[in-house]
Formats: sequence, structure tokens, C-alpha cells
Amino acid sequence: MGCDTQQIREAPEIVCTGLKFAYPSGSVVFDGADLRVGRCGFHSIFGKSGSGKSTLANILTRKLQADFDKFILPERVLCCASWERLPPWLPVRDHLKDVFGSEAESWAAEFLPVFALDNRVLGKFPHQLSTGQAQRINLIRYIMSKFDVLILDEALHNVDEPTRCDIILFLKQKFADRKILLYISHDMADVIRYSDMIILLKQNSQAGHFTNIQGLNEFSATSDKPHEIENIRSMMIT
Amino acid sequence: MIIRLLYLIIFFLFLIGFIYIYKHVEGLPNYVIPPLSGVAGVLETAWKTLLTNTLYTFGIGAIGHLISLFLAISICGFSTLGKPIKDFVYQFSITWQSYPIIALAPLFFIVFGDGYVTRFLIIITISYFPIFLAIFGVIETPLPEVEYFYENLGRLSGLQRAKIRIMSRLGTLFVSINGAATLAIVGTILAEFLAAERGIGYFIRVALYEHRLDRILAALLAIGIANWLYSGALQMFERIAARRINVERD
Repeated sequence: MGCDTQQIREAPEIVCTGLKFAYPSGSVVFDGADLRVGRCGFHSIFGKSGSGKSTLANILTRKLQADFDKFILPERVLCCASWERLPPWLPVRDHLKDVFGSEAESWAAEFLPVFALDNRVLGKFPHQLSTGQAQRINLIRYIMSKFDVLILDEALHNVDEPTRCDIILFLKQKFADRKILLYISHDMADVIRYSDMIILLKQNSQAGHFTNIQGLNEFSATSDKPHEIENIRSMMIT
Repeated sequence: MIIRLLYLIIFFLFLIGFIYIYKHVEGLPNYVIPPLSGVAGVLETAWKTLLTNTLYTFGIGAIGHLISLFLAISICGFSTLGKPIKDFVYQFSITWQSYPIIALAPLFFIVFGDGYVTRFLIIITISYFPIFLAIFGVIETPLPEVEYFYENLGRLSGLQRAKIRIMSRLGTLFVSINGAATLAIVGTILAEFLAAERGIGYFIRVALYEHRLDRILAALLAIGIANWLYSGALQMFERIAARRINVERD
């Protein structure tokens, strides 16, 4: 796979032009798509199933090799996915210590209340946790890591709505001013409610392209914004 | 455990039944196949010899099993260093295994004599390969749902990958390790048949030369019971380990 320009920058900014990617089966996902995330914040990648959201996440985390004309990406791009599992042979506490050192426990404890978890989960093995608890622990270990861009690929899929709301607001408050958070979700209400910018992934007859919808962050978290939902729905169709 | 004992009894009854039906049909004399009371007599008079020889055999077998396990883990760990090493290790093991032990055993016997080296080489040749294959298979099978996080953080070295895959699938490995324990005992008995002056294999060899089927049947019963106890102990160890380190069973 060739590339004309690839740069790694310190400032969180994502610029990708002329993105082309096809799976070995021949299925074309992107054919000359342009993506630009020029500022920090909590942004969403939104689109129908199969539109290439997770493929895009894998390209941004360099797990998939794509062709492009220009690719500017911060160095530390992490992706927290819903299907991940914690190491089954270690209690959560030991796993965190193993990865982050002896301070991990007190560090993690700072996040637990926001994630509606108590200290007892740290002593449990993964199989003793509910799916939602495991997903929240998974996200905690990512936000304990160093990153410039964090992609949340359905990372809160199994978490109840009030807790999800608390977590997203916490992430926005703690990171959105200096990091790029890319939220992948099928929940249109969540996407509209919390996103500073929505990257709409549309499949045309050939392959996906991006439409950036900006300026939604002025809406309060409590408004249901039915007209915005309709706007996005119609943009996905057209 | 109880079920296994039941099957052992059924198997032994089946074996005895077959031998004595055959004796009856063919009209074989008592000096070829002695009456059942002869087996009982051996158990009564030679139980101490049987017990010490069986314990000795299972002790050697357990040590051989441990050596095989250690060897398989080390070689599989070594194979994570690079693809050429991995290919070499795999092909070498396959080639080694393709030779039947019965063909290799005389070679060991001639070169190393009738000592422990020959016996352990025979045991390892038989029991190493299933353990190696199980560990190798586990190391070669990706576990993306656990590895993904380490890969994201740039911490997924070859050794870390192997550790994740082994620790996440200990349940599968335990099954193969327990299976190899039986093979290790088979290897020990075979080795004693060729290259020992103690052990239940040696006991059977002497009985064979003396044409004492009653002693052979008594030895088989002793092996069955000891194997049942050994497997039970390994299963208990597996259960304790599983509880302690949260083994996932596939």
C-alpha cells in the first residue's frame, strides 16, 4: 500500500485526504474519502451498519493499511472497542498494576465513582463482572493510558443510559479541551446530544465518504432536538 | 473420579472375562492361563513387591512427565523469538515424533545403556509431543479480544503474546497435560521393559519370561489402580489451579 505523505504531529489533529481502502475480498470501503478533525473535542463518527466506522478506527490506529494522498495523525491513537476482554487470569487490580505500575489502584479509584463502580470491582476476576462493568473497566484502562486521540468504538454499548451520560460528560470535561475523542455509536440521540462535531459516514454507490457536521455543541444535553435527528437521518439517506 | 473407577472395573472385568472365555473355548491348560484364584494369590503374596514397583514406576513417570512439560514450555517459548526458529522447532518436533518409539528405544538402549537416561528419553519421546502440540497450538491461535489493548499500547511483544494466549487457555492446556501423563506412564513401563531392573515394567518382563499370566494380570490391575489415582491427583491439582487462577475452559 503506498502513501504520498505521512506525518506524525504532536498537536491533536487528524487530516486524511484521498483515503482509499478495500478489503482483500474486493469490498471497497473508502475510495478517495476526505476526513478532517482539526480541533480537540468530543466528536462522533456516525453511520449505518457496515458503512466503515470500525474500519476507519482500525485505519486511524494503524491496524489496517490504507492508501491516501495526505495523512496527518497524532502519535498516540488508541481505540477502545466493545468486544475487548480483560485478561481472564488476573483480578482487575493486578491487571492494572501489571500495566500501569503500583500507583494504578489509587489512580483507577479516581475514576470509579464516575463510572458507577466501587472499589470491590478491583478485586474481582473478569468473569465475576457484568458485561457493562467489564466494559467500563476496559474504558478506564484506556483513559489511564497516554493518548492524543481516543476512539470509543461502541465502548459504552452495554452501559445504562444515565451512567453512559455521566461517563461521556466526564470524558468531555476531563479530556475534550486537549485531546480528540471519537465516539462511534449507533445511538443517534447520544451522538447528537454530546458531540462537538459529527462525522457522518455515508455510503454512496461506490464507497463511503465523510460529511462533517459542526456546530452542534451549543445544544444542551437535555434537549431532545428532534429536528437535528431528522436532519442527520435525511443526510444519511441522501 | 468414581466414574473412572467404575470404568476401570468394567474394563478389567471385560479383560478377565475375555481371557477366561478364550481359555474355556480353546481348552487351554492351567499352566498357560492359571485360574483366577492364581491372580488373587499373587495379589495376596506379592502385594508389597507390586506396590513398591508400581510406586517406583509412577514416580519415574511423573518426573519424566515434568521434564516433558518443562521441555515443551521452553521450546515453545524459544519458538516465539522468530518465524525461522518457530518453523525449525515445529518441523524438528514433527520429524522426531514420526519415528515410532519402538524403533528409537533400542537405539537409546545401545547408546546410553539401561540407566535413567534411556528411560527418560523414552518417556520424553512419548509424552513431550502432545504437550508441545497443545502449547504450540495455543501460542499460534490469536486472541484479539485480549491482545488488542496491549497492541494499542505498543506492548505486545512475542513473549507477551505467548503469555496472554497460554494464560487465557490454561483449561485446554491442562487437558493435554493430563493426557500426556498417561503417555508418560506408558513410556516408563515400556522403558522398564527394556532398560531397568526395577519397576512394574520390569516385573511384567520377568513374569513374561516365567510365563506367569497371573502375575501379569495382577500387575495390570496395579497399573490401572495407580493410573486412576494419579489421574485423580492431577485432576484435583487442575481444579485447585483453575480456582486459583481463574482458568477458562474451552
